[in-house]
Amino acid sequence: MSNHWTLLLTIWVGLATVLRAQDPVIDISNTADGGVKQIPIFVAGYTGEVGQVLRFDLEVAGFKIVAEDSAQYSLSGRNETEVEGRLTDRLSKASLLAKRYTDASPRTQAHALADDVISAILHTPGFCRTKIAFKTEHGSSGEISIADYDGHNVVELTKDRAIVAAPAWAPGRRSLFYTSYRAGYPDIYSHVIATGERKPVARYAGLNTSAAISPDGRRIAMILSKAGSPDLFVSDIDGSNLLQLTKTKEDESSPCWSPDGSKICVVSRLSGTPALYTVSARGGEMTRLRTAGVTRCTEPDWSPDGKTIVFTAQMGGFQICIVPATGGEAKLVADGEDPSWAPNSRTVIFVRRTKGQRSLSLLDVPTKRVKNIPLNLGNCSQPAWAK
Amino acid sequence: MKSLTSLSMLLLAVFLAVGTAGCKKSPKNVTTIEGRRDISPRPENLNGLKVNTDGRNGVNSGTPFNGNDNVKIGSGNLDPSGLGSRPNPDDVTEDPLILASQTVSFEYDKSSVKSSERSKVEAAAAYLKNEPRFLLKVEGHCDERGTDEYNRALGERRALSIREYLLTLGVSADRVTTISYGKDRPAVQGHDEAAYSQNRRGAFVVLKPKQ
Repeated sequence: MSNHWTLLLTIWVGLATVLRAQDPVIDISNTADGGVKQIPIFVAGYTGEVGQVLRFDLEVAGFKIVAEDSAQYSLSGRNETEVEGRLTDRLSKASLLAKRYTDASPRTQAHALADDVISAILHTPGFCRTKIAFKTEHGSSGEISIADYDGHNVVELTKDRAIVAAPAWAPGRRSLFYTSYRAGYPDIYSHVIATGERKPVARYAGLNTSAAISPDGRRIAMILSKAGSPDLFVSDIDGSNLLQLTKTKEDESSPCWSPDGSKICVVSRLSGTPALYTVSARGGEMTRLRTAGVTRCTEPDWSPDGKTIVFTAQMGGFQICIVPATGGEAKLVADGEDPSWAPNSRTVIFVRRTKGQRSLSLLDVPTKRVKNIPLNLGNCSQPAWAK
Repeated sequence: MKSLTSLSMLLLAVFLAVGTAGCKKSPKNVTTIEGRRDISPRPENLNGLKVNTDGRNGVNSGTPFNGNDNVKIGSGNLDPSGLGSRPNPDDVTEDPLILASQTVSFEYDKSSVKSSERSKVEAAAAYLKNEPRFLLKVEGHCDERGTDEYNRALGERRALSIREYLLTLGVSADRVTTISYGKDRPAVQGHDEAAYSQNRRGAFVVLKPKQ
């Protein structure tokens, strides 16, 4: 009898550990709301902008800046000239890194140090020098912008004063794809960031929107209504060799690729309310993705490690949810909409509404910690994290 | 004790089945490929208006758009662009007022034209019959309770439903264009059903050729 109980307990604990989100190699006890605890770190010696950048980056990454005697790790250094940092494990006394950063701006040096701290402790690549794209609204029209992940160094890429939507990066971050009504109707364009060269990719009658570039950069998934209803299509990156993947009577929207490029997750309203489906990128049947516990699922994004799909559930308000990529129990992780994964498959950028205005925020999924990106650009939405 | 163990084993089995089944189950809600209304192919001329096969003027592109329309569907049939082509905005003036009273209302999350709304589409069709030179742009709109791209697609589906009905009423396919604004252009501001119901709409914009 006791053997049965031991076996059951072992299996139960094993499953619980396996099914939990990816954790760093430290304390994984839960906080009251079911999140993982932030890692306590002491930071000393940094001033001004560098200090701000370091603290922001570490907090987004799942750390908590604390007093020295509460800290598990200690980062100390200076930035009078170049940024320098020494990271020690306060418990084991081990020195984890000692570096000086040269060239580039102080901001970039600070981001580089933060990335190295993240790598040293979490054993994942840092995200602090990555880029985002998003839409800014100006009255009844908008523009597409890019920026550092923390909202600095904003560059407005378009100046069309048209309705724009759905920016999507091509891998390698050299080009951006987006929807623009600049010629009177919603069309998909590609835009080379360095040169400003822009080409239409889909300009069919009806709707052309929701471009998503395959991870190998060779194909584009998009929603076109040219065949009578908004459907999922895939073509070569220049728009040729168009293949229709869905032929439903109701609308599809928001495709995203699996990281191996074999499947696309797409929203369809064919059951009457929006739900997530997957379909082979070469064509075939749509299979419903189980999202137990939530309804009206939209805006999926597939994590780069292939394991998790983040999406927006429209259940009254908007809520960011995650679900295993094979389907299962969905979990609410934040209030907001339109999520996009960072390359680390852990951080998510999304849209929050505060005081009637839409702004960008960063979510650390395991700790559920949210940090706002202060942008002061009016309504910002539809963020896409370059991967 | 024995029944408790059996119950635990049962719960565990259910837990395992729920946690691991995912897509390995036989797929539910799989879409069958249904026939859709046969829509006439793209015409070369549109009531005497010059139709740019690449869409319209004024688009600043480096390389001319190829306009490749070869769509593989299953057996490899070519699918002509079922929606016809869009009138060049430079060639028409827009009149959003003349059929404003016929704005069609939609149910939440729905794109079908309700029977109570059909008379409005019929009025638009009658208007077009009386004005054979004019074209029509059907705008699809949504309320704010959907997310951006979901609403953009739903708005388009609403416009297409109206277009489908117009075609059954004898309006020529090459006279009707659709455009979706998702939730970008609400008719009224507000966060209650009174506002929402006014924003879930299909609006008619008459297009009058400039010459």
